[in-house]
Amino acid sequence: MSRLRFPLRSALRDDVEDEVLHRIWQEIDARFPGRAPRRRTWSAPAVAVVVAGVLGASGVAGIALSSLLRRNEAGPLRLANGAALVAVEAALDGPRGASVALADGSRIELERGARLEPLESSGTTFAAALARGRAVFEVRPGGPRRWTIECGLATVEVVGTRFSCERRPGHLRVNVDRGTVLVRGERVPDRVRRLGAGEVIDILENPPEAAAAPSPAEAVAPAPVRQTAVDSPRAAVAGGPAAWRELARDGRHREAFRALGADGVRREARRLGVRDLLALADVARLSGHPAEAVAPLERILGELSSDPQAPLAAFTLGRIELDALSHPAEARAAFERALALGVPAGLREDAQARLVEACARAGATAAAASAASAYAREYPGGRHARAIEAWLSGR
Amino acid sequence: MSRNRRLVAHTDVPVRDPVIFAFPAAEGVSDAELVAGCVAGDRFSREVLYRRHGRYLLGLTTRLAGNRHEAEEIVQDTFIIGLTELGNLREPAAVRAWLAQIAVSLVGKRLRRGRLLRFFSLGLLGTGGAEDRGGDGVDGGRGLAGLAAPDLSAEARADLVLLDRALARLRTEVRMAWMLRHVEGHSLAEVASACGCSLATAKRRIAEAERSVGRLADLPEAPR
Repeated sequence: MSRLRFPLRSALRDDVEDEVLHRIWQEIDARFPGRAPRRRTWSAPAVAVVVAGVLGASGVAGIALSSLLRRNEAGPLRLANGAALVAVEAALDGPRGASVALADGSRIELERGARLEPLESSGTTFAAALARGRAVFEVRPGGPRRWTIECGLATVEVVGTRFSCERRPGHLRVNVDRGTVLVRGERVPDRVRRLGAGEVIDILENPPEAAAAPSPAEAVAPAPVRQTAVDSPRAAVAGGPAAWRELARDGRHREAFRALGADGVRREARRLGVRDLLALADVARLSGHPAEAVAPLERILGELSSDPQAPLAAFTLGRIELDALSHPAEARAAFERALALGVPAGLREDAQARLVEACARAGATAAAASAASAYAREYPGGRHARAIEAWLSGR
Repeated sequence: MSRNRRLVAHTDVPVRDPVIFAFPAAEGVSDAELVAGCVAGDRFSREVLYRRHGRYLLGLTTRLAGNRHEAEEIVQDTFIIGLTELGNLREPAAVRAWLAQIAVSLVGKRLRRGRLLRFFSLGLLGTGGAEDRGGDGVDGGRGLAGLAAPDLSAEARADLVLLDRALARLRTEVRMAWMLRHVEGHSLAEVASACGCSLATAKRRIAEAERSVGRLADLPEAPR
């Protein structure tokens, strides 16, 4: 008796990431550089103006104009009523925050005191800066624009999801309700983190160093959010035996490393699940023990490679091997694995570039040239092109 | 005004008092309208057409090719070909099926060209490739087993490995027809349309595949 049910599609994953779709569209769009004229009824601004003028001040005018603007969605993102999107600030002393409905169906809610400033808006991109305060972004899935929110300590990239950013002096919190976002920044572990639904990351400008080993009470006490790098579901509140997890969640990586005890990372690496293994690797790496971080990451790639986080583990391993341990041959293998496993779209360009670097530093000249060609094909004029030239020329 | 929150705009721009309209966005535009827009060179229409059907095609090609990266390239090529040839489409409302036909054809060409044959031939040569392909469960080029849902039982995953092994031995067009029928759940008419063949040919290919798949993978005959 078969254990499969037909049609088999129901037994298979069907997860298509918005980032992937967006990247494919960019490639397609580049092949059609607006060579043909737009259909007149859809895009001529003059028609919109004339129609609006004829309809005058009647209530129909706004609807007609917005209808035309809707069809011209390739232009800058506008408010739902067709007005230009300007800097928005929810007054601190107001009765409540601000709600902004956008023409593409997306919505931004600003809490009192928050301020959002548009930076760039086109048919494919919307960028804004959260100057201060907390804002909730509900981005229409499958929309034509890639959203980027600059939050000072990090940048949040998203195509379609619901998430919030809370910016306070020296502190940023990103919280994902639905979908997936990429959080980038110098103070983000590995400079980039992928956050899924229910995950939250806190980033501090000046994380305090752990001066001494904590007392057992301190080690297990719930700590306020005040450090770098939290990457766990909100519901996952660790108990006493998992003291290192609590410490790691607070960014107290040195204390977490000490809490693990002698050979603790290797011991834990033999039994934990993927999420904890990634946290364990972070503890080792960020506490100044990069060599210890290899074991948990290698276990993910060896025994748990079907997990969606496996490509990220391979990428992280490559960076550690190359940057911290100076093992370019091992780094090359790790980056190759990351690419083969399907590293997230937001990291793929980095992974391909780092593969060139690893090959070059390992003395594998032909492999480096081949990897560089692959990079150039996929990312012509990419942001690592100059660095790749330097690596290939031995500079 | 009642629907608006208090907004304080930047000092150098006028304060707006936005009125919120019900906004159907691209959902209100039919496929036929989008096709007409694409033919006229409208970029918005191209993008909406892609957003509407790209996800479906990426899922379809991923399952048919068994490899996400190959599928991404195929979807890209599908839309480049499709958007270029849209003027020749007789039934604009059927653009989804037409794009699927292009995609299926491209998957078949790639399989025949051997860009994916290294995965399948490894299994035939007995190097363990097929087992590994199905066993490690990632979608970087591992057939159906690599796409198994997380909650699928170990036994069912093992069946998928056997199925991958059996499918790898089939001719490309036979394999594609069987997969469209029993992986995607298409009707026979849809299989014939996607494969660009007659209904009789589609039936014959599926029957041929079922004989091989049932024997090699020790699976029961799939439902009709």
